Amino acid sequence: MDCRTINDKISQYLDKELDETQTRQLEEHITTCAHCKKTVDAWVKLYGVLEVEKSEYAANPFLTQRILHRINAKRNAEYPSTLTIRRIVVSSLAAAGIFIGVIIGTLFNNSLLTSSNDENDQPWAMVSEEYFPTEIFTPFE
Amino acid sequence: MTDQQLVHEILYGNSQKAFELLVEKYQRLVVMTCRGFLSNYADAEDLAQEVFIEVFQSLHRFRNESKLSTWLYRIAVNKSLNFVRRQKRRRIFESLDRLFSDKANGHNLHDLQNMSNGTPDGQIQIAEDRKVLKQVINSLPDNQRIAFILNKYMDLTYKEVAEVMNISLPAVESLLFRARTNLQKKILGKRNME
Repeated sequence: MDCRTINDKISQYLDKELDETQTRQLEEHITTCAHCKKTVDAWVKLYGVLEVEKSEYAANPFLTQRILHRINAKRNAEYPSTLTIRRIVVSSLAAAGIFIGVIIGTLFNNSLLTSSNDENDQPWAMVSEEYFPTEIFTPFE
Repeated sequence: MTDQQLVHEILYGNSQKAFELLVEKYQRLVVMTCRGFLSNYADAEDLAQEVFIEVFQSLHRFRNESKLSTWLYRIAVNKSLNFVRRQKRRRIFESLDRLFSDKANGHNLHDLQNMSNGTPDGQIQIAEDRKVLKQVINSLPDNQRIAFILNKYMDLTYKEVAEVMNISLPAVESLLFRARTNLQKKILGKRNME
């Protein structure tokens, strides 16, 4: 292996991704080539810095609880509680009932008003005349 | 409990305990992946929380076609990249702010004094090396950075990196080679500047 090939293979060598033959060839080369040895050492040292950082990891015992707390908080924000839903439904139903009542009342009132314009056309006026004729049941003056 | 059982329990058994187990099992994987992209543990842990919240919310979309760990790596990498981009934008605005602020120089001097007080030389050097390395890693193009962090921080094999990034094995080799070349150039460049 020449220096150029070694340079291309250093990453794989340090990551132990080279096969046995290539690993042996590279190691033989760096025992005789000071320049390549220096490069390999520099990378080993640099990766050592990463190893220090990796070794500092310590599991946080509160992480799970924090996550669950945030999930529940999000859920509560997105979905209102049962009590809130019940309050919303009851008040909506009450409002709808009042609205329907007002509409029916208004319609009924309108029909009475129009009927008073032409009494003879209304069946209830005819019926009252039949049972309570005006000549007999004249109101007192 | 296997990953499949955990996922099934969370989705269909509505089990909080199963989710707790999942978080405990993969806490290191997620925190360290985020740490690879970020400059401190506090940010990495905050981001890990967001990763797990997303996992919880979108677990029904996980199809068991890949390993659960591969899926977690992908979410952690995406969240980290977005976080770093947001941080960069914020830093640009902060530096603009500082540019127009008289207090800036005083603060920097104070920070420097605090840092050097009572800190042994060796530790300063290590901290400095780490800082430089972090800066250089963060300046790599996204694909190279992801491959490098997964391989060097998480000790994933090239095959595993290929699975997470959904690329071929030779593509991973090429990305890592280019990442190393770029790192070398950038580190040498920084040294020459000093």
